[in-house]
Amino acid sequence: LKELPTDPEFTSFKNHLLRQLYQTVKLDEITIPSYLKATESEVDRILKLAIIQKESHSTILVGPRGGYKSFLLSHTLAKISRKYDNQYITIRLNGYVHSEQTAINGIATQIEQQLRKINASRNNSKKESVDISSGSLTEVFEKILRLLDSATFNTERPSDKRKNKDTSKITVIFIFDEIDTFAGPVRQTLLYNLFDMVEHARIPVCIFGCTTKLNFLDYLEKRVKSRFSQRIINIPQIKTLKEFSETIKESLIVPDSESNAKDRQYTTQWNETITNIIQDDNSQLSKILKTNFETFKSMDRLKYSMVPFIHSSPSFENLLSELHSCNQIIEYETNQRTNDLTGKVRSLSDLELAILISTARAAMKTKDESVNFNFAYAEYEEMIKSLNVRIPTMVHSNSSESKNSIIVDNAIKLWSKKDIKNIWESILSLDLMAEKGNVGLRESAIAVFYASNYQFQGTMAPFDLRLYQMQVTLQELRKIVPRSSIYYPWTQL
Amino acid sequence: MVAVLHRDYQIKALRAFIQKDAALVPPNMIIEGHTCTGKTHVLTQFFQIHPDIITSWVRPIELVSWKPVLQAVARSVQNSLRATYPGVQSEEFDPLDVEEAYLLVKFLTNLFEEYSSLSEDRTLFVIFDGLDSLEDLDAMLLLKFLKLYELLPETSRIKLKFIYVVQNSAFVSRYASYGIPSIVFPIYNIDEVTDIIIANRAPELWESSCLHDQLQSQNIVNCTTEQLYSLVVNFLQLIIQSFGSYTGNNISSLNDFIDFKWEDYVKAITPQNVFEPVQLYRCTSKLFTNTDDTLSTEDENIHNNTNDAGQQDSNSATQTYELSNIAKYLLISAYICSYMEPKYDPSVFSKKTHLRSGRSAYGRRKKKETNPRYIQPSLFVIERLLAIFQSIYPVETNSESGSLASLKEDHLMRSNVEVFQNISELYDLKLLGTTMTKNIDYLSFKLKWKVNVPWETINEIASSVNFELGQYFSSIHE
Repeated sequence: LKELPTDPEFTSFKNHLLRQLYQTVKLDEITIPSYLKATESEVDRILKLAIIQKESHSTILVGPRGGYKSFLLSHTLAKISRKYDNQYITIRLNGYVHSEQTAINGIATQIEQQLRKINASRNNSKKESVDISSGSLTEVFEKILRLLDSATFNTERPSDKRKNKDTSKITVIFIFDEIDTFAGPVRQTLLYNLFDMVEHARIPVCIFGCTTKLNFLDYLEKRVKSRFSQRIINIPQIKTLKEFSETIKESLIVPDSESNAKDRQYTTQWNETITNIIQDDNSQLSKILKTNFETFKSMDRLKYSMVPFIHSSPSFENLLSELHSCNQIIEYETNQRTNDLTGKVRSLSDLELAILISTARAAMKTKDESVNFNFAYAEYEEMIKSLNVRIPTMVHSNSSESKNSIIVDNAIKLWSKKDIKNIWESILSLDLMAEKGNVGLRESAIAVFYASNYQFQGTMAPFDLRLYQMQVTLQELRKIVPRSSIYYPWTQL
Repeated sequence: MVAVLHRDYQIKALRAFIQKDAALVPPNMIIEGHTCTGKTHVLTQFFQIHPDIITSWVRPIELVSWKPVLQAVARSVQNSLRATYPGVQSEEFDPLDVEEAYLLVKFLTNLFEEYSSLSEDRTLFVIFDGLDSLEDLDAMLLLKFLKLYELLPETSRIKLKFIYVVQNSAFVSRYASYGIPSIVFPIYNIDEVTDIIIANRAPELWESSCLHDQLQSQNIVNCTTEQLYSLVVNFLQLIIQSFGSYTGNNISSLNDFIDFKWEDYVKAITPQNVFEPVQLYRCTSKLFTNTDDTLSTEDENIHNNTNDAGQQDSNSATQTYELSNIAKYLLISAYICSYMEPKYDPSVFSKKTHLRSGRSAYGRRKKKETNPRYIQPSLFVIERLLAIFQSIYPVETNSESGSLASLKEDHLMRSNVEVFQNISELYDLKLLGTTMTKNIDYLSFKLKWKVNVPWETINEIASSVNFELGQYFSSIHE
């Protein structure tokens, strides 16, 4: 576990590369994929309209997970904030973290914090202590509404006058993640009020919502929909393999800048190699790119698979050779798959496999493919008995007086029903079987609460009568179990 | 430091994903693996040799519900920050105030503000050890933490990173589209298990006092350390070979077997067999053929008695249930009601000679294909239970047959108060079940009953009252 030997310049190059993959490099060095450039300028335009021109807007960004929605917003905001830092406050809400009720408090707290920060930076006396977040929920909501909706915002104005010459108002930018959770089936009060502000408030309010739902507009109530400005930005997707590898190339190429000047010796060589490898259709990396494009089309997965080898390379030559062979990327991908059904079945002991096969056989024989412990054990017993009959080396010593002393040496042991219960439970815990009619993980905390107050029929029944369903069928088992296994012939009815 | 065996790739990947520099760390990470695959062990070892990384551990299995989880995150983050920076004068916030997910954001924002005077950025890893073992787990909980980093202020000195240790791969695959990097800990194979067990347990058993006492009492002194070591290793391998297929590749259950059998194994050591592994195995072969994985001595006896049936009688005195005679017969008749079809009842139970004309029932024509005992019990009405109970319950007649007293005597058991008392008692003991509804009305004609014991139990109960239950079922299937 010892640390790797370090060449400081190489280490800093490596770290820069990793930062680039995580997109945590300095603001100017962040490369935005070229297929997103148009979208970025659109977002930029809307934000600048809101912050500089003080216009009110509402926009929804629609795109799949990992589609750079939040990234585009925060990146553009960060760029703007360098020039117009005090012109706006940002309020971030997340549909997972905030509910309709708590979002109100969340908004209040964030307004308070942000205003305090702006006031502090304008170093005026803290005479107007913004106190929004205290009080009951209705009070808080009223305060927010009054603050955002009306002219009482002049608590802020005098300070503006003193510092900035123009009397511009502060733009409030709302960023909603998972805005579809606020557009629930009942009421949608929060969205109604906020969209209403966009229309009527005297201070500029800009609302950005990110969602993955393509039919987001159908979620909205009629009155909410009519207040929304109908601007929906669909985040573009990568369409071709060429675009995909181009994007990967962009994110891997290290730009020449002052900050990484000292490892320039590596930069040029690295960029050259990357370009060559990606252009070469027969290279290992291009093959991996192609597989990824045709299966996941996930930039994140590809990037994360590169992290281990970039980090662990002891030298630059090693890094380049790893890039050529891609062994560690393949290793990462293999590791991701070791815990799937196949991996689990392969990791079973022989007894566990025997029980799994006999359970699958028993399940095949029933009408609704459900099985209980009794059936599985009966099947197992039958299987072992007929296996033992067929084993030629076993000699029945029927001649002597003891009938029940079989020569066990060559026979396969038939475990008792009591012992098999342990196996049954471990197959269950491996998720190779599931209780019949089991709902599994509930969607929300409320559903969990209801479920935990309900006693299920299955838990009442005795152990060996509970009904289960297989997660892996006999046909699938036949493909997984190696032909050399003695149980292989039993993977067929 | 304990060596970590067979986890080379995982350690390498951990080293790549967990670093001091927050910019080189993904905000969320999943460590996935079945039970006993060394997830927690590897993680603790990893953080032990990287003491400069601040960690705070949260164990959801102790926390039951989502609210305590949020509070535990708040509490442990605050505690580990206070422990790392005792010099920073910080206000102490009450973690019990965190009653909603957004209040956790507020709590952490306030907390990190106290540490804004630090000279450098620090990464703090929050490790959820076994997130999916939370009792009241729902699908939204992980999402709350996944997005938490976006809501925390970017400028704060403390960077929060989350590591989720998860057993269930189905749980992880729900969140596949979120693009969280994960490290999978696959289940060990049998060779790896052997290596790990020998490396971990051999020194301990080797120094165990029972081994040395036995050696002393048997006067074995000419023992070299290598011989002793091979004795221990041999034992461990025997355990793994005999119970490996029973436990699967589960190290902790194998460890239980080792602890459970070691003393008995040691007791069999004599000067003759101490250097002869084969002989020693023969002396102790009983240890390796039975799991003895039970707490009741009775079960063990039955297990042992399979080869000599003579002893069985002495054991039948101790019974599984100490029920009253009526309750036992009630349970038996409930089992018959649940597993035999009502249309064949007349052919099985009818004994009376017919005074009036009419044919008796023919009974079952063909045997059933599936053994009915294997399937779930079917429902019956209470009258059928009482009828069958009456037909199987033995009533001994005290009076001489033909005497006047015999006219007065009942030859059949009546459903008296005790019978109904026993039925309701059996229901309370969960030996009888009903159709599941809340607030069951026992007196309703709609209510139906079923038996709730498996065949093994009912067979034992039947044999305790010398009732041949097997015969009733032999005509159906076997």
